[in-house]
Parts: sequence; structure tokens; C-alpha cells
Amino acid sequence: MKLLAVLASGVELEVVETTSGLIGLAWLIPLVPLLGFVGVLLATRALADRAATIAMGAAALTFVLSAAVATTVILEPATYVRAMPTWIDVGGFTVTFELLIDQLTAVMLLVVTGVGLLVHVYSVGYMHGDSRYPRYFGYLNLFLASMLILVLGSNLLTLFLGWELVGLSSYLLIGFWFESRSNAAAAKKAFVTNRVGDVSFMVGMFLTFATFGTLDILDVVTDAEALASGTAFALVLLFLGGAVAKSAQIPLYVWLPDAMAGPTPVSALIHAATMVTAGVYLLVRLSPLLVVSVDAMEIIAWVGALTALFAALIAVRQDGIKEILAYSTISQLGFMFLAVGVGAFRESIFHLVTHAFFKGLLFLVAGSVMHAMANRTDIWQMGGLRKVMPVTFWTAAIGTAAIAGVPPLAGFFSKDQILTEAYFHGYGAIWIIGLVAAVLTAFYMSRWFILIFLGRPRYGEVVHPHESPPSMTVPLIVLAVLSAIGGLALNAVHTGPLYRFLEPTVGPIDQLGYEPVGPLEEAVLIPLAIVAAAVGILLAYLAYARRDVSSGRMSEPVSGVGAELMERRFFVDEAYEKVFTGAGGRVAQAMVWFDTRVIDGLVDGAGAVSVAIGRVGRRAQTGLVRSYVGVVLLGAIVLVGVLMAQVV
Amino acid sequence: MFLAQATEPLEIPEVAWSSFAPELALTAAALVLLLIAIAKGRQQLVAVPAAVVSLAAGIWLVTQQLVVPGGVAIALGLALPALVFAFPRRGSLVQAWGAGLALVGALVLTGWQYLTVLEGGGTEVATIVPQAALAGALANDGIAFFTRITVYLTGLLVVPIGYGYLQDRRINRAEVEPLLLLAVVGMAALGTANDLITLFVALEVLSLALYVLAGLARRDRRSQEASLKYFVLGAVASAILLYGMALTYVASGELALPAIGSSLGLVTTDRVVATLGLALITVGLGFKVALVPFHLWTPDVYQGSPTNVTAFMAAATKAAGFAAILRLYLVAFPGLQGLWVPVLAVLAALTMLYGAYLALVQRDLKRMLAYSSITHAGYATIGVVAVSDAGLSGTLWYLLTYAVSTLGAFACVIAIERTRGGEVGLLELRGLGRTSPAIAGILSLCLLSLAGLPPTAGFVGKLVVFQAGVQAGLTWLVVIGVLSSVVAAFFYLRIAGTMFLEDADPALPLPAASSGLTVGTAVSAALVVFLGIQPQLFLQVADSAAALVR
Repeated sequence: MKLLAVLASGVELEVVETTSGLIGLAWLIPLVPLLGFVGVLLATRALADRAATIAMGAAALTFVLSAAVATTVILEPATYVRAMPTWIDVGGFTVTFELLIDQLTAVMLLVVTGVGLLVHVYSVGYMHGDSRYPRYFGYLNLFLASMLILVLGSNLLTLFLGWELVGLSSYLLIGFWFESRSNAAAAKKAFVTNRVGDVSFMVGMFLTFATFGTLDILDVVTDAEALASGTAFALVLLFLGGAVAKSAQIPLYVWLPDAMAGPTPVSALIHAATMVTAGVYLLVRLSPLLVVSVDAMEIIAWVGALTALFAALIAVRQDGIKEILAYSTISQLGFMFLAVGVGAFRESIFHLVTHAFFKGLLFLVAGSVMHAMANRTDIWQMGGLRKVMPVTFWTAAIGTAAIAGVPPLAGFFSKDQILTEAYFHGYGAIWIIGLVAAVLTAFYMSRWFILIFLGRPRYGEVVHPHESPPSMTVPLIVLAVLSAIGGLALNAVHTGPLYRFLEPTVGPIDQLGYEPVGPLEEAVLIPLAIVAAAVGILLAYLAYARRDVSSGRMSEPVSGVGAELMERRFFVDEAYEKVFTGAGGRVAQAMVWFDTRVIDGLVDGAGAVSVAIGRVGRRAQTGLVRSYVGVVLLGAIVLVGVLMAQVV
Repeated sequence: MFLAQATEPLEIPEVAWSSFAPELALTAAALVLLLIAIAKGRQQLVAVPAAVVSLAAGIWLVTQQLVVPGGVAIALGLALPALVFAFPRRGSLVQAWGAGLALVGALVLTGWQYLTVLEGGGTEVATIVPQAALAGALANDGIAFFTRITVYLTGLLVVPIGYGYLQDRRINRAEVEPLLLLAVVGMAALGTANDLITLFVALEVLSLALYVLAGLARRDRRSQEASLKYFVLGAVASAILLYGMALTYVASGELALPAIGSSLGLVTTDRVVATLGLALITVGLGFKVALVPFHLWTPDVYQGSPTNVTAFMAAATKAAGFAAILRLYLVAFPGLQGLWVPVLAVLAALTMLYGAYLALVQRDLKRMLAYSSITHAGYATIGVVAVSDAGLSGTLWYLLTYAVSTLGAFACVIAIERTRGGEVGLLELRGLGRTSPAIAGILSLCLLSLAGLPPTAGFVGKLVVFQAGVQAGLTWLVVIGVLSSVVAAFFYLRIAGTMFLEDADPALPLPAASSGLTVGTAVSAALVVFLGIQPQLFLQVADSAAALVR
């Protein structure tokens, strides 16, 4: 059945409801890894050695299915809806498990299952010999299934189902090595921070239902135009609240650096390439709603810009091989939010894709290095790995150049296009912040690269680094190739194939009345971006490659209050700890105090009746009965008083 | 005698036996089980005559075209001597099986009742045509049916869950099952009660049975304390409730709830007296379902009572109490809506936050679950103050999802308690995910459901209630509910984290499940998942339950 849903902008959306063909099989995409999870978990004892095979098979199968579905969408572009059974249907509130497969879904499917498969392969080598090897692969499959539910759901509630399940599997995987207490704490921090975002998301859903009478994404985006801008503003901010938690943006980014406690392939898959981009996906998915409220979009842009800058500043002075990448991820996600905010929805997805390539690659490189260095993470104790790990070195070089924005690698195109859009849409300040963040990115990534691979070895005699096995290097090579040519192939210019492909799925920005900041043309802006990357790389080269860095941390070129602040991550974690844990604990303590002391104390004034009854209790030696009766009576008196005051 | 001759012969209203058939069957079963327990060695002497009576009644019912109730009577009649014959020396097994079968029978009868009042067989959406019975004392409507389903299901799961536990603690005395059945009858009756007297009697039937059950462990000081506290405080609450009912009668001159409702809607009615009655009734019922500040008994009683009784109280009493609240406020007090909606909404907000925060600082698992149950009373109240069909079905549905989740959680606590004895604290849970993954997994699942995470029953429960709240314009209350569920996620997660993310203490014995416990836990866990993924079956029943006798 073919339907035409007309977006308010006049863009016609071809909606095809089908249960046949390849689209008809789309429901298998999340189901296969889910079955893999169940299979691995149930069969741990009997099939412990096969766990990786089962999980990898599931990931491979779901990748093939996703590729097939995506090919269908590429060949016959349309918005496909795959009908599925009803989930909830009560009093006009109907939610189904329907799948929504359009161009945006196709892109996400390929990224999620593609990187997912590579990480599965890589994990075979990386996790070899771990005592909970099967369980690890089970969790990976669970994550894959959850992420695919998130991407495929045609309904905000099914999207939320996946949203929560990715949180759960991320919790399980961050705390996977729970022998260290801090890992368990990190897992909890991630989960609870995300719950805070969920409050916003859930209230957003309720408001959506109250406004539109449905949670179906297609219905919401087609009706969005008619919305009052106040309602749209509130809705967008509520969903933004959910997105900043999942995608680690200010002010809820604090969980992501801690999440590095998980196994490194997990960091690559969940905390770089896929799960953390769910917030970006959500906002782009709702972009027809976003364009109704330009004010809300400007807030998104500022959140993204400030996060990009702030996290980049922190990354400059971190020492952990994964911490730097974690703050880098936060910063890059900030670029994506910035893009969404300035109306560059497709640029944002483009950056999401290239970032999945190069950041997934860099994390896997980090894993390969840690594998070789007996799990050391301090980059000051590395250096000179170029010789011993040639494959890792070369792939890392490509990844670093890509994220730094060296043309013609993937990151150059996507980041540059975001910045030019910011400029052309009139966000001058945000454009400058973005440029500064780009310089910083080139700087801290070059620092990361130089300190690990170049110079003289600083790791002493104890470790004997070696190149990783093929199961780990092959995914590195694949991702390196994608990082190298991904940008050129997908979208070398503003109106490249990816943009035209994604066009029907994003909100129209024509009537937002964007004006360029100034007279600069792209011919000037692009060289500016290249200069930014070059400056960052050059500074890092001067600071870390040309100088003697053998004295470790002491050889940082700059010191002072600012550097100290960056090194200590601006004390944000400490502040949060104080405010939330402290205040939350105090509230709870106050209530306990109330429960034990005040209630006991109140009784003395609670009147003769309670005392009389209280004596009964006292004879029976039951402690607080007297107090309890007193409180019940006091409550009753207050209640009667409140009610009577209204009628007498 | 002369006077009697002079008056008109009393007109006895026709008793619609079918309107309380499930309760009737359960009461009879409770009595017979009690007699069997007394008979000790000569159990067949009780069982055979009881079976004969039951069979005769069943056959007569079948001849009257009442096939389902007849069939239930015949089946129960046949089962009784068979059970006694099968377990000659194990009285408690006869009791447990007997109670279980009686509850199955009651569920079947409830289903039969439900089908008879359903209308619109052809159309897709079935609606309930509410029926009043016994001169308006009973109402067979949506609240009644759904409450029956919830409490019978709870009872049915509690029997196997508690069986091994009672034996371990040597408190498997013969009165346990009959008392449980009587409590269930009281709860179901509370769901059907349509006038003040029936309502109060039903409340006392269930309360008295629970007072005794809470003190089942006679040698355990905590159990005795729990029982006495529950009794003393319950008595105070009952007195307040009764006074409130009396005042309501004074104000309206009516006992039947619908009549009170129409009377209170009139301008001529004395609103002062009626409001006083309303306030006192709120206190009394607030106590039963543990709304803050009338919740104080809950942690002590839940912690001290035998754990299977706690599970039963937490799951079933709440359902029954809210059935009474729903009916009273929606049928009898709609005229005073402007007064009680804000009051109950504030109480709900307090309850949600207070329960969640206090649960945070608990160390004992049962006590933590007690505070969690307080929190959940707050969520269920959101559906009441929504004053809408959606809210009504939302609350009923919420109570079912809460009942299965909390039952599953307590069942896991029992499994841990059985071998470790005494109280189960957080420390005892360390590393349980490694040593006994099944129990740790199910406990985590139930806790995630209580926390309201998809795709569990608890998520759909909260969703429907919150949805009703938003529709009724109570967004602030829903926001508080969502916030409190974040706070609650902390402590549910802490339990799960302790089990999965910490190392086990090798000195601790492993939890052990008996076969009954395994079945009960597995069914609860399965329901938690099923109601989360395919809630449609019961949601539709809940949806149609919005039809009330007014």
C-alpha cells in the first residue's frame, strides 16, 4: 500500500506500508542478535567455546539483513512501514511494534551493524582468555538488538524501549570487569545519569501524546508544523534533555569518561560509534518538529558548541589513552549537536557516520595498544610503538588525521561542512567556537598519536609490545579504509549523494530565514578549516615531537592555573558529587531523622487518645506503636483541618 | 411470637448466588480445609462427606444449566478425597494443594462471571454491563472483576511460594491456608462491596485474617511484634474509618454507595458533615494502602511478618484497598471531587517521594521492599485522582503489574532466606549473580519491573497510569512520579549491582528453591515479561473495567 504523507512544508513523503519483500523481513534484524543473546546466555556451560561463534554469527546475519534492507531503500527510496503486532492499546492510547524504515534508518542500520560486526570480530582476539568470555558476547548481542530496536522503532515508545535497553546493556558492559570497585561505580553512574535524562524524555513523550494524540513518529513529524511555537519549544527541550544524557553533552556528560572502565571494544562500539549517537539520531528524527522552534534549536546549537569546546579543552591535558578519546568523543558529539542546532541535520548525520568510522578505529587502536602494553593506559609510558606495531601505527595515523580534519580524509569533509553551515546560517559566534574546537581537536589527537607511537620508547624493560593478532588488525584496516575514503565517497561536496539521499527525512529549513554571517565564500572557509587543522597538528608537533618528553608529565610545554584546571577536568565531577550525592544523601538522612526522631517526639503533644492507646502498645513492649498512632492521628487532624477549612 | 404473627411475612430478596460464586467456593474450601486439619488421622471422614455434598451441588447446578460452576464444584469435590488419599501423612500438602485448587476454581468462576456480563459478543471491544446484586450490596463490575483476578492470582502464587518456607521455619500450621483463603475472600469482597456495611465487613474479614497470619511465627519476636503493631494500628484506623462512614451516613442518609453519590451531589446535603466523613474515610483507607503519613506500620510489619505473608500483603492487600478507594471516591464522593482530588494528589506526591527516599537508606531487603511498596501506593493513587475511565483502568492495571513484580521479588527473598536464615541484608546478596544466576536474574528482573524499566510489566503499568494523569491535567504529579522513579532506580539498581557487580562471599550458603518456590517464581517472572511485552489481554479487561455500578 502506498500513501503520501504531506509534510507541512509541502514536501511529499512517500509512505509504503508493506509486509513483503526484504522490508518484510526487517523484524529479523533486532530479533537475530536477541536470539543470539538468549542462546549464549542459556548455553553457557555446554557451548562455552562456541559463544563467540554464535554471537558473531548473529551479528553477521543481522548485518547482511540490514545491508539487504538498506539496499532496498537505496534502490527505491521511500518511507517504509513494516506492520507489527500491537504492544499497548488502551483508551485511545495505541502503540505498536511497527518498524519505520526510511533513508535515515538505512544509514543507521548500516553503521550499527557494520561497526557492531567489526567489534565482534575484534573482541574474539581482545577478550581471549577472559573468564567470562561467553557472557561478554551475550551482552554484546543484547546491545546490538537494543540499538536496532531504537533505530527501527516507528514510535517514540518503541524508540524509548531501545533507548532504555541500550542503557541496560551499556550498564552491564561498563561493569563487566566488576572486580574493580570503581568499574561497578562507573556502571552505576552511567545508568543513573541516563535515568535523569529519561525523566525529560518521558515527560516529553507525555506532552507529545497530549499534543498530538499519538506517539507515532511519522504522525508527529507530519503534524508538527501546525504546532504553537511555545509547545514546540517545550517539546524540543524535553527531548533534548533525554538526548544530552544519552549523548553525553553538557551538563550530563560526566558518565562517559567513567564508562571507559568497560572493555575497550565496548568503548569503541557503544561509547563512540553507536549508542552515544542515539541522542543525535533522536533529534534528527524529530527535525521537522525542531524547525518549528528556532529558539530551541539555538539552545541545541549552544549546548553542542560549548560541549565541543569544553570537552576538547579537557582532552588536551588528559593522560589516559582512553580518557583522551572519551573527551574527544564528547567533543565530537558536541559538533553533531551544534550541527543539529544550526539546521545542518544531514551534516550532523554525515559527521555521525564518519565519526563512527574514525572514532571506532581510534578506540580499537587504543585496545590494540593496551593489549600490547599489558593494559597500561598512561600515554606518557608509551612512545616509539611505530616500529613494533606497524599495522596499528598506520591505521592510527589515518584515524588521527581523519579526526584532525586533514583532507581528503573523512573527518575533514564532515566537520568542515558543519562549520560552513554554521557560518552560512548566521551563527558567527558558534562558528568561531567550532573553529577553535577544531584546532584543539587536531592538537590533542596529534599529542595522543605522537606520545604513543613516535619518539623513543618510554615503557621500560618490563613490557614487550607486539603487533596484535589478525582478528584485531583486520577490523582496524577495514575501519581505516572507511575513515580514509568515507568522506570523499559519501559526500565530498555540500550536495553529495548522502545529502540527497537523506533529504526527505529531515525537517525543511528553507523558511527559517537563515542569513550568512558575512561575505566569506566557501572558497575561503574551506582553507580556513584546513589551516585550523594544520595549526593544531603543528603545535602538537612542536610541543611533543620536537621537544624531549622523556620526563613524562613534567615535559608538558605549558603549566599554570588554566592547565591545572584542564587536567583536573574543571572539577566538574567533584562538584556534581558534592551537589547531588551530598544533597540527595542529606534529603534521605533528613527523612530518616524525621522518621525516627520527630515522629517519636511529636507524640508527646498528640493528645490523650493516643497516649491511652499508646499505653496498650507499651505494655506489649512494642516500641514505637505509640508514636505511630500519634502520627496517624496527627495526620488525620491535619487532613480534617485542611478539608474542613474549605467547606466551613 | 404474637408480634411476628401480626407482621407481614418478611420478604426475602432473591439471593443471586452467582454474584459471589468465587467467594462462596473459597469460603467453603476454607471451612473444609480447617475441618480436615482438625480431623487429623481421620481426614477421610471429613473429606468424603464434603466431597459428596460438593458433588451433589455440582450435579444439581449442571442440571440447572449452570455448567461452569457445577463443573468447578464437581472438580473440587473429586479432588478433595483424592488429595487426602494421595498424601495421607502430609497434612500441609493437602492444605496447600486444596487451597491452590480452590483458588484455581475461583479464577475459573471469575472468568465465567466475566463472560456472562460481557456484552457485544460480535464487536471487537467487549464492554462490561455492570450488575448490582443482593439489593445493591454487591456490584459486579470492572473493579470487582479485575480485583478478583489480581487477588486470586496473588493467592494462587503465594501458596506454592510459601509452602517450603513455612516448613523450614516450622510454622506450617494447619490454619495457614484457610486463613489465607479467608483473607482472599475478604479482599475480593472488598472489590465488590457496594455499600458501606459490606465494605467495612469485607475490610475486617481480610484484616483479621492478616493480623493472625502476620504473627504466624510464634517463637519469632519480630513476627509477634509485627502482628501486634498491625493489629493495634489497624484497629485505630478501622475505628477512624467507621466513624467516617457513620458521618457519611448521617450526611447522606444512605448506605449504598451510588445512593450516597447522588445524595452528596445535591445542594441540600450538609457538606460539613459529609466532608468530615470524607476526611476520616481517607485516613482509614490511606492506612490500609499505606499512603504517607499513614504508612508508618508498613516497614515494621513487612519486615517482621513471615516473608510469604509479606508478599501476600504487599501484592493483594494493596489491590483490594485500592479497589475500595476507587469505588468509594468515584461512586460515592464524586460530588466532593473538588475537595478530595487535591488532597489525594498531595498525599500521592508525598508518598512517592518519601517511600523512594527512605528506601535508599535501608539495608534490609524486606524493609527496602516495604518502602518500595509505599512508593507504589503513590503511583497507583495517580490513577484515582485522574478521575477518569483511563485513570480507573490505569490503577487496576498498575496494581496487577505491581503485584506480579513484587511477588516475584519476595519469592526470591524467600529463596535466599531459606538457607541463610534470618534477615537478608544487602551484604548477603553479594555475588549472587555468579553463584546462583537464576535467582539473581529473576530478582533483578522483578526489581527492574518495580523500577519501571521497559520491557517489563512495571513499565507498562507506570506508562498507563502516568498517561491517565497527564490526560487529567496532573502533569506536576506525573513529573514527581517520574522523578521519584529515578530516585527509586538507585536502590533497585543497588540490589542488582550488589548481586552482579560484586564478588561472592564463599562462606555464605547458596539459596535453595523448593519445587513450589521454583514454580511460583518462574510464573511470576514469566508474567512480568509477558505483561510487559504483550499486555494487551489484561489491558483490554482493565480498559473495559471502567464500567461501574453507579
